[in-house]
Amino acid sequence: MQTGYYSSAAGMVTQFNRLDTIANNLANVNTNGYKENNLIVGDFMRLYKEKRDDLPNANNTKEAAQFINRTMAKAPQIVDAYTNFTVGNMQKTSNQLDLALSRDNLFFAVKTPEGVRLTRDGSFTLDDEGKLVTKQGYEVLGNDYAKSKEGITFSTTDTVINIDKNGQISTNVPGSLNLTQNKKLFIASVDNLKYLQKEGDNLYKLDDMKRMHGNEESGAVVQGFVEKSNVNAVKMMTQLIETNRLVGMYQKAMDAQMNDMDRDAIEKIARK
Amino acid sequence: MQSLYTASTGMLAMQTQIDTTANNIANVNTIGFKKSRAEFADLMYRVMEYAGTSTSDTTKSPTGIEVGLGVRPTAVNKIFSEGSLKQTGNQLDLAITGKGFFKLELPDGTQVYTKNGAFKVDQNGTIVNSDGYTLIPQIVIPPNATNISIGTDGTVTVIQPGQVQATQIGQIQTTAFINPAGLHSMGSNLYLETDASGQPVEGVPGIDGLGTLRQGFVELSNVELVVELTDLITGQRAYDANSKIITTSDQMLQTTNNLKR
Repeated sequence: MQTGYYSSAAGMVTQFNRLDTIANNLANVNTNGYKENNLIVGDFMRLYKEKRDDLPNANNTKEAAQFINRTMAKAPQIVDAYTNFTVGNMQKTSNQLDLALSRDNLFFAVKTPEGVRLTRDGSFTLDDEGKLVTKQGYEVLGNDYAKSKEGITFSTTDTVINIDKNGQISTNVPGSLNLTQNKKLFIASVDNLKYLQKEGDNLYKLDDMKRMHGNEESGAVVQGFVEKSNVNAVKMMTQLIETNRLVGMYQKAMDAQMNDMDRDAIEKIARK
Repeated sequence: MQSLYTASTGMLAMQTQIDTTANNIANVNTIGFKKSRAEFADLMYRVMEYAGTSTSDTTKSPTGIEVGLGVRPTAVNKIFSEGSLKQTGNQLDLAITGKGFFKLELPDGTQVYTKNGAFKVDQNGTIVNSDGYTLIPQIVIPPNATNISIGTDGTVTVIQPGQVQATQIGQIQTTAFINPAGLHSMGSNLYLETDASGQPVEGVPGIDGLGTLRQGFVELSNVELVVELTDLITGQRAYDANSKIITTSDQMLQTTNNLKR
């Protein structure tokens, strides 16, 4: 019937989905190491062009016309989602076990029951055995994890824990302030950030572990800082207003088509 | 309308942050108090389109579409950084500079730990804390002692009338935990051992990484008001932003309801 009506309805659904993403970003505005998610709404022209480029037939055949018609009926929709990996604000905490990474493509690696996961949230703690763990209790991995299968362990006599910019951990010799080297943190980088999949709990999953590499000389580890969320509240509020208004506009468009035009058609044509 | 529930997780999480900050600020002058910090992690993700699904015969979707479902508090983490020391001149005020806790015994025999070293003596001369819980190992000050001195290593000596030499009457020990943030806060400045804190490791102050004692000083709270007020502002603003999501979701639902006249 009226194609425009369904396109508007689809536009509305798209905006509701977008609202979900905005809501999630704002809910995580104080989550350490959280990275903002964004959606891309595919506009009509782009979808049309993409489809026309891979048309199976010459443009002027009947099949092609059917194909284009089918494509044109496709309404605005979410075509892609991406995560904005820019570095968030750094908050000084002076806590020895708070670590931040100052470049956007670096991660800490942790051992979870499901396998190795990556995280940017470096607010670590020690567990009852003295192992360096995340707040969920997952062990933080050192650069020798592939061989030793062990995390990084500290003892009660370690009063000074020093972690340099490459992730080398040093602790004091009991009874003095001379430092000895402990293990070194595994600082992971990824071929392409788009391969990372968010899993919740500030963790990222990588399907193919071959895409992860260790960095011995990262120069990016900052001790005594936590990285805050990189959600930009101003941008999110603007998007929120936009979403709200767009839904209002789609509603007007749908109203005009179904209520005003159809009523006119029914009432006036019927009278003639 | 997922956004309504997502925003409510945000509001609840920010409430936790404000609650934590309020408790820190309320204890800004509590001796031996250690501040806490609320920490959060993103909840799970609803997958609308999996990464790697085919978009045509030859191409694949590189990222997929995932919509997050909100936030959850993961930890209210106690931070055991040192508070500043305040000189009181009181002979039974002790501060630990560095790692370690004093061990106390409750009337029911439970052993608890504290950073608050403002001790007193009870009617028998036993060293107790302000609530009357005994310091372990128990030390009894002789009634006629004129001067009590406590060394940095915890040795307690007194001078008695008619004597020139000081007599040692006890040795204060302190206790360390591998993960002090895992201790359970009981209130009244007391902590209880848990599975997460690890076993208590007792020792002489100043040895094996334990901090030394300072007589005549108390350790003040490690709360920094600047940090707390910043957290209060960010918490309030985030709470605000999340409530805006709820009102907006509501307005959008109303708009859709208006489709039918």
